[in-house]
Amino acid sequence: MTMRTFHYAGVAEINVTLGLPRIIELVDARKNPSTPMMTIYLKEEYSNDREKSSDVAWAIESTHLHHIGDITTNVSEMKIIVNIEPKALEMRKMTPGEVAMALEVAIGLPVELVDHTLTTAPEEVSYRGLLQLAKKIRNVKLKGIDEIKRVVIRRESDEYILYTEGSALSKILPIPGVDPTRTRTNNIIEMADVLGIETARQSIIDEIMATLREQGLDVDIRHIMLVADIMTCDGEVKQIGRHGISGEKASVLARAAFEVTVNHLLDSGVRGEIDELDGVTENVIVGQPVKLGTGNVKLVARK
Amino acid sequence: MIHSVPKRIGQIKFGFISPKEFRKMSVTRVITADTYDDDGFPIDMGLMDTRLGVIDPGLRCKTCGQRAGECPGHFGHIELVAPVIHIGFAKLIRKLLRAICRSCGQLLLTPNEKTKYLEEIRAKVEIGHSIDDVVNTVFKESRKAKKCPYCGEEQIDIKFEKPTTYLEDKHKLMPADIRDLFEKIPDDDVEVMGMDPASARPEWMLLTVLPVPPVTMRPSITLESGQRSEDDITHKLVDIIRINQRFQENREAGAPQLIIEDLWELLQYHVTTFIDNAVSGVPPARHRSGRPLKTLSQRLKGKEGRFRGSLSGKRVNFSARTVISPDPNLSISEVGVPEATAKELTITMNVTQHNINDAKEYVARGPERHPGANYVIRGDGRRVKVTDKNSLELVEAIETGWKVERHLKDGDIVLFNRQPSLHRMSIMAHEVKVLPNKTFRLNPAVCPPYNADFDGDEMNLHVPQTEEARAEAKILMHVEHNILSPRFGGPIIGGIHDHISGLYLLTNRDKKIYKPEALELLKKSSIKELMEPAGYENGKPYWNGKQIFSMILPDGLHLTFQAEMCEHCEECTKGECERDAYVVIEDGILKHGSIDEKAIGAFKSKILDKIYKEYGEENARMFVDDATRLGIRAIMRMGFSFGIDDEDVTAEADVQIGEVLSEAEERVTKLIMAYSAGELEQLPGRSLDETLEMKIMQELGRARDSAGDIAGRNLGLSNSAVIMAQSGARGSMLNLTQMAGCVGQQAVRGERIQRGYVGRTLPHYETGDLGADARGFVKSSYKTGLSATEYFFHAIGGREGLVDTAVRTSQSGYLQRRMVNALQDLEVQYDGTVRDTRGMIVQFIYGEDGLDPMKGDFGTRESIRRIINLHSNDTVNHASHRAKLLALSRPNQSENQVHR
Amino acid sequence: MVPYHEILDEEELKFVLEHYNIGKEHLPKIKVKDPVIKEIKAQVGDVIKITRKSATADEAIIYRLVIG
Repeated sequence: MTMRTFHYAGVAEINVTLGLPRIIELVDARKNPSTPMMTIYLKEEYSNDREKSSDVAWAIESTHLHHIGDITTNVSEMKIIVNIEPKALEMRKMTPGEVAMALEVAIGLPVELVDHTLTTAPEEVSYRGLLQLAKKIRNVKLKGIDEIKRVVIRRESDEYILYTEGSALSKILPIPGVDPTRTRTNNIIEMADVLGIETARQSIIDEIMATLREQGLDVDIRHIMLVADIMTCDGEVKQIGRHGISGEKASVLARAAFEVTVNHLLDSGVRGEIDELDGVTENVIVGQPVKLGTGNVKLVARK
Repeated sequence: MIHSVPKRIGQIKFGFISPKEFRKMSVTRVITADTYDDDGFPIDMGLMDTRLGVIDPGLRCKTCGQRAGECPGHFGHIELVAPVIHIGFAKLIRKLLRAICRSCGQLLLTPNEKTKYLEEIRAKVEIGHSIDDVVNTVFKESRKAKKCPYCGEEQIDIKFEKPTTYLEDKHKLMPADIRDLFEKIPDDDVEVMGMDPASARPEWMLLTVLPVPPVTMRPSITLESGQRSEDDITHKLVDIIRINQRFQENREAGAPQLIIEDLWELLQYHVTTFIDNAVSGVPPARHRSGRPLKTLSQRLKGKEGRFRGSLSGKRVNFSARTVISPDPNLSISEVGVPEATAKELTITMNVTQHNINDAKEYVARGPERHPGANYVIRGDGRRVKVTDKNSLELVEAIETGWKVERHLKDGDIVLFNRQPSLHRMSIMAHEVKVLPNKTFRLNPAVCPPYNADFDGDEMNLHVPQTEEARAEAKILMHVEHNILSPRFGGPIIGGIHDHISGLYLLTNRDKKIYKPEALELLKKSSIKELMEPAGYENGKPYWNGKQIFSMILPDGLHLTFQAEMCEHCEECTKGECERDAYVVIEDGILKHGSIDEKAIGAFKSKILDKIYKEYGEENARMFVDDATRLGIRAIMRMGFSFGIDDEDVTAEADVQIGEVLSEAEERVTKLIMAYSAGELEQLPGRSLDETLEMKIMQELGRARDSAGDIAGRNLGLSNSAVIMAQSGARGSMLNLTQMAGCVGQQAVRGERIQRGYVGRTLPHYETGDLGADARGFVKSSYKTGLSATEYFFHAIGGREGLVDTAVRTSQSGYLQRRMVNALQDLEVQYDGTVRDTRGMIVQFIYGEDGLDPMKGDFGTRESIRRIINLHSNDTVNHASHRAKLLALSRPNQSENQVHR
Repeated sequence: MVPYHEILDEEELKFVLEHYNIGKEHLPKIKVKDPVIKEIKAQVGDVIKITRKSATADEAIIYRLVIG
């Protein structure tokens, strides 16, 4: 499989991790994938309407002050001037008044609004204070959801679908217009937290299959289902590896043979654990047939 | 010979060994640090005491009376003057100290809390979950207590200094004090803390008796000089005993507390390093040469440690390894074994009335002549080596009940393996074919599952020794059984390289083949009779290539598909395809189309897939054998070569390619100009720079492709490289493009080459030059040769490829190890559920439908219908027709019902 | 996305356990904290019947034991 193919896999302009790194990320059950992404489906009355769907898009994309206008510092008068671009504002369905209000609340200083120009000044008259304030103002959030850095609208088959960079499923689902039954994120843990373990299982399958398919690998879905099932059968998403399935195996010897040998042996002593020698590794270690497949069958001679 | 009942270890219980048990299992107390006396005999009660087992040949163990090699060794013990901490439990001891009362030793929780936590622990154990969470809360909660709820003692927080010091208000707790305190902890409280009081009393974590491992696990080696060199562990034990003695002497002499404490510390150090010589904060004990000693933990840990190196992976007898080489005349299920190897590897045959004559023949031939025998085992179990001298004598003596270890001979089942064994097809069962020379021979058609080639690859061969093992190998692991890959349910074995080229040459369009030629082509196959000729010329019958191929197809085979070389035209002309890419097989006769990778190639073969699923393993194997032999014969008859002049394009094409490239360069220049003038339109979500890069890459990529098209068209369909690329035998049109047209853009991390000097890649260019050639576009083709700068950029791109592969293999290797480890214990039970070793259900029906991925048609449910049809009709013929009809209509509803 | 979850009644549970010849603890688990479990107000010890859409078998039924 190809390493680090950063691609725009069908989805316009959004980077997603693909290939081996993505598979590793999935089976590691990482809390935060390197490229969180959401696919937001809209309810019927929205999904066919370009206007309405882009309204939803603007509502969730996090908008900061620097997105809608230029911020300049007037050093001689110790003022910060924000020139709002009317076009940018209109797209986001906001008024200059709202912007001024939001800014005032955020910085706790009086803001003067004249036409499309906002003016404010720092409390303490100093050059440093001015610059700090300018920096703060730049990142004042006006609307949207923090985690959603960008939203792209695409028309697929016969509906508009929103793709987002960044993920916040729990905040997106209640938004009017969003179809909560189909909307998803590529963050498995988030899926489990918001929609439950069963959904997480399905996402693991979908994500792995999509990654493999993108690489042109033909793998039977049943294999992937087995991986997803063992990752989720204890009610939470468990990693494939030391801190997950392999670390919680019933057999001491199997665990010791995988990783961190000595600690497993010491801990098993403390707990007084019993190794029932049911698995593969244990029986290989003690040198007897494994109780699986043909090793599971016994022939008894008739007396 | 006495047959012992095979024993099975039922379970293994882990726990601490109490000092009492240590003494009980010990065969002697070890008191002297010396090992051997002046005569070289082990000293009594020394570290090499013969009661601990023997390693010198000739001596007998005083405990069990057995000789070296037979005696497993026995433990001794050292009585430590004062208790010391077992380093592996240092952290746990800290937790316990903080959790219990410093005076009465009870867990600092109320009785109610204790019962609550105990219940939680028991619930977790019952469902097989880890109890770590509960135990950790117990430790956390109990630490909060300021006062003991039982005796009212004020609690003082314990400070822990790595590795083994515990401080209570700056006052040092001696291990002896800790031990006394731990003895007071009630059993019930121990359980609440996640420990099993029956097998792990907390006070046993402080050692008062140290076991001395048997001599057999720390053998000394005698150097050439006659000097003895002791094992690392023996060295460590010597240190411990010495300090222990000094400690005792000092204590008895009433030495000052300071000296006692120092010695105690020293003893602690030695015991610590004896257990683990890589504890952080403890300087590792070193050998005289400065090499850190390998003590107990180091023996167990890591890839070469006891667990992964000796227990999970073992060395075996009856195996062989050598270089592999191809032999297309072998069947895919055979393996050529060198005679020398065959004479070394043996199979034990039990002599009975039925085979006594065979056995005598083998023994008579002796160990030197090929199907001979190396050893016989007499009725009383004695092994006798067969030599030329005694062979006739032995032949006379053989009777039933004896065993003969005979040489490997043709037809024996062996396992053949190539590392890395990434999937189950990496170990398959083959039949032996004894051949001269010194390499293992295999049919090139089985290379794909092993991922083998013949550039010096070596492979391993194992000879199963029991009848059960041979049966299992034959039934489950035979090559025939593994033609389909369980990954996607398609064939993984099939024609490669020349097989495909050969069959393509044979079947593409009509070729007249006269009788002598036809017979030669088919002489190695299993065909006995030629079919009706296609026609007569001058009274002589002739056949065409498609007919020749049809003869190896089974009767009644119906199949229609598009060949690999199909160009997916908008409107398919089917049978009239001008490239002959529409394959139609009717009743086992190839009517239209050429045979290429899609038809017989590994991973893709439609024909093989169909034959396997409808005619069975045996027929599939025969088809592969015949097809590959026919392919080789055909390519030999027709001749096929490729040389440097096959990459030549006409001068005209050269000019065309040059034009295409310079046009592209012009467009790139325009893009750059637009960019610097600020006129370039930004793509959504991209910065201006990124937009430019993307557009340039697109432009150059397109230019390379059209250069390739021109070259490809110019070379024509009769060019060997084009034939190989089109039929899927080897190489691709991209390779051809690069050889004859233009190599194209060299990329690092998917971008044009940026690195080098500030603002430029090489001093040959101006700073800030974004043009095609300044950023690694290679205009030349491999045939014309690369310019100096192009060569350099090409090397950059090539190096990235090499580094990538190296990184990728290690990453995917680890992923594989984790995956295998997580899934290896799962088993499909007789009731269809998938369960782990604890009996926990993972899936209620495997894959939610209980189907084997290997048996589906690339994972679709199509196959079920086909199987049902196959079995509900008497003739295969009808079945396949019906399946085809059904496949066309695709009734969803009935499909579901069929499924249930 | 979320498949249908429902609490299994005693009788059906008995049948399921008997059919597979297992105890409740051998079933796959689901946390009581799971959003779906909160929604259907199941308790620790309940067994949930889940009807999934399946890529291979249209519909698949599995059971999970609610744990703490």
